Amino acid sequence: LYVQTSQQSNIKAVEFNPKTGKVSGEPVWVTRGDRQISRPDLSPDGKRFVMRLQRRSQDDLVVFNRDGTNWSDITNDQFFDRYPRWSPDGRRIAFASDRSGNYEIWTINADGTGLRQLTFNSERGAVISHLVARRQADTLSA
Amino acid sequence: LADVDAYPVWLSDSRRLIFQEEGKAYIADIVTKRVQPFFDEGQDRVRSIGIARDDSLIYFSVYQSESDIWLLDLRQ
Repeated sequence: LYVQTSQQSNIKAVEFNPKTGKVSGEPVWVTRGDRQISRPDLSPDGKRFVMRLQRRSQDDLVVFNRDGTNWSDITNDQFFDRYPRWSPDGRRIAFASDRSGNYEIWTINADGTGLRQLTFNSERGAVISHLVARRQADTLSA
Repeated sequence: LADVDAYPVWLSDSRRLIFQEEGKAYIADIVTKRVQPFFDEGQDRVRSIGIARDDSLIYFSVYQSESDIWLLDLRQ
């Protein structure tokens, strides 16, 4: 006798009316399937999502179109990459990663090139989590 | 504003924000301090909520978990 558990996490979206503060219509699936994705962030131009994809022993960043098509890996390695956020100009993505041995903030171009470490706070005992990018500025908070 | 452990996201008017708590989505007005649920997906619990820059679209993660009990006959 045994128990088998399957867990999935996908993305839904629904239209929102900011004047009334209410949603309109029914939510639609942006992604479907046997995977675990989370922490979506829609690009400033509203065309692409970036989010965390949990793989067997690593967390990676993926981008795809607003309708769920055209998936592309931004990272795909042994590290845990989390909390991705678009830069206000939509060119780069900031995220938290343990690739330096501790969780720090990194940035990468939207095509997966140009990986750069931005913070070195763990040496001072700080813990990085939940990244926030301001909408109309070039600053990050964590 | 709200006694919850959540990740709020601002609307572009810098007056209202949205967040999720226990699978439901809430909208809060920092001027009137009114907080009210505005979206509920039932059994599909809302997580990681976000909003488009023009406030026209709300998106979120939906976690689904299913467990099945199996009986394996080892005599075969």
